[in-house]
Amino acid sequence: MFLRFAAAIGLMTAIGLMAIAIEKQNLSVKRAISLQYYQMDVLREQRCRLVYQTQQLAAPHRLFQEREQTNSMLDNATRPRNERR
Amino acid sequence: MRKIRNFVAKARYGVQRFLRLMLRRWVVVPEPERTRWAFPKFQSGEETSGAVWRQQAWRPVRSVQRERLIHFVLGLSAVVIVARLVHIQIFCGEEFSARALRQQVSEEPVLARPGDLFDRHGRLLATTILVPSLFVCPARIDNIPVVSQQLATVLKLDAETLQQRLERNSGKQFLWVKRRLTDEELVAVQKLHLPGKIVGFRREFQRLYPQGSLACHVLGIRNIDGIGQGGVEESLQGILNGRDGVRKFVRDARGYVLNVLDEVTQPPVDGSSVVLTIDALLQFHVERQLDLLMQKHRALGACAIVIDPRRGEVLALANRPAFDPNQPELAAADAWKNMAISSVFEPGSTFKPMVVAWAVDRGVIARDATYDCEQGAYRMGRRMLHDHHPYGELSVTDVLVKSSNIGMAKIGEQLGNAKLFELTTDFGFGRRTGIELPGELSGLLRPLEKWNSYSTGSIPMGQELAATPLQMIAAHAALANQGVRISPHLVLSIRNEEPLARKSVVTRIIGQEAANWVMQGPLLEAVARGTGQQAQQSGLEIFGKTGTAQKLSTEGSGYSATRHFSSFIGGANASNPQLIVLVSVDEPQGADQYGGSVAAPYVAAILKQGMAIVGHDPEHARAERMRE
Repeated sequence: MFLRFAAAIGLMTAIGLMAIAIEKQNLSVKRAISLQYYQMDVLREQRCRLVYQTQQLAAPHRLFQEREQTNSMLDNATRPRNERR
Repeated sequence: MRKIRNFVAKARYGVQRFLRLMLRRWVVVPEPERTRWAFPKFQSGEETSGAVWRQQAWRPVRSVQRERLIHFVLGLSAVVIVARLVHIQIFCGEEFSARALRQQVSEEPVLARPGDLFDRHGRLLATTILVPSLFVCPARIDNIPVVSQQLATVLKLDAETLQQRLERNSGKQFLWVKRRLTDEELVAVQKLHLPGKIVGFRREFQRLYPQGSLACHVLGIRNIDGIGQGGVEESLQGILNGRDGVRKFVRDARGYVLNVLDEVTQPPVDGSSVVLTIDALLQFHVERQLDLLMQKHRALGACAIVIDPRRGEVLALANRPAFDPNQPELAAADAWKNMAISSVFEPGSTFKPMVVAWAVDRGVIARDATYDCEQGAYRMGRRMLHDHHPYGELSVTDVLVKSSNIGMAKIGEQLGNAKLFELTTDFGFGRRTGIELPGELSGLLRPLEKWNSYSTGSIPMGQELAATPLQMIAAHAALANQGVRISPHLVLSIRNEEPLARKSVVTRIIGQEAANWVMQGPLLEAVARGTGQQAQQSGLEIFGKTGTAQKLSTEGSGYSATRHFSSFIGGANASNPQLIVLVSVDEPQGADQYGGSVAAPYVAAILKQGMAIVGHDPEHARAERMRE
């Protein structure tokens, strides 16, 4: 009688412990997935900012402005000295 | 009275008995004292006053009776409890469940990221980033003047105004202080170390335009709440916005999050990115030319449109004055107007090629016909028509090359009002082109019943009707596309979706032969030796037509002698048109206000740049090969 009772208690305890372990694993997996989602959001945001910056730096008006400035500097440098006065 | 007394005595007795029974059951009492109480028994007709009851109340009874009584009472209690449970669970269950859910579960929207906008080569035109916005809880601020002073200093706000706002909303739990903070402002606020119970940050999307003011009228803006205003931001909002998601939390009594309910959370669906037909590089050149034009002619406004006539794709669309969509608060009031689609003007001489092409195609006039232009003055009914220069006999080609009003009026007389109306509607005047931009006007075209003999002379000259610049270039694009009109459009494709179903309307208006003749004959001649000579460009076969329409007088009726709307619509190359360009200038200043002087040189410059870009465009090259 006692043995049966002890076995039943033991079985129930074992099932309970297994359930706790599975639940813990489940929670840790959930946490890992949440973290991955968060990291993905952060990376996506960083990507957006970087793309924005590169496009801003490579915008036609900026490139042309720089090219024209360079051209005018070169013109000034190649012009004869007396003309520059 | 006696009955009441008896009832009271019975009730009191009953209560006493019940309490004693209960007491006895749980307190250990010696055996002889345990089972002794029961209801007194009375014979019928016996006196049952309160006194008698009191005397007989302590009569001992047997334990069996007592047990039955207890069973009965407990059973009754159980029945009452079960009935109440059934009532709560079954009849009120849903209501209580909903109430509990409301208390425990809270929702939070998960914002969907709006889609980006790209030009035809993948250059980014608009994107979205997450930025923090600062809010406070005014009800929890103890010292409003100090907090408002601190925040105003770091955020560069007016301290007094902020303090007034906080005091006015002192009972509220939430108040925006400043939205869309910069990184520097965020760091500065964090350095204040204000308690978390009074200030907080919420992340919001901010729309950014990396190309600055480039194509601002095509793109439009998004307001502080992310709602599109103007441009494709407004018209394509449904595609760009996506669908917000919902995240559900289980909270405890103090509001702390216990769990995120994955199974009921609705994920956000991000907006789709849209690829426009715009070519950012060509758009940049067009805008530079418009800036030069505005600088030189000090006009009220100007607009330029570049279209690929073979596909109806708008490659560039620009207006002046313009604004920077990154700083919409700095825009002038007149900068918001998209003149290309929401300003209507009499087209003037730029309307003439359509009349001639349609009349030739329908066989109303012959290509080699000639017209006597009456040396510059012609009476048409009660009306006297004039040309800018006196001409005698002119061929149809020369009527267009010299832009003779008298010659066109005579062609109008041959056509008659009904046919003039038909050709006008055929070329799409009086109705919207259907471009994907909000606020497009349909122009002004009176119904045929309201036309009179005056109209017969006016319509062929491009008067008595009004059109948007986009309608005008769409009509010329039909001529350049061998008589087939393709409605202009701005959307090339939508990313992450199935191929876009083309919404452009394709209509044949006139035959290929008549269209080609007009392009390669009169319109090419108009640039070579006519009114559009300033549009000549070496290496390009530019064709086009000038237009100088008088604006209506602001003082009384009639036309103004000093205020003009000058245009030039041209394309290249005449043998195989790849680009059509329109430049329209509203009220240019200076002595020479003709379209041939004001607009034509800029069309030529745009065509030169445009043909160089199109020539290097692999997509165009592929289309060309397929065409050949």
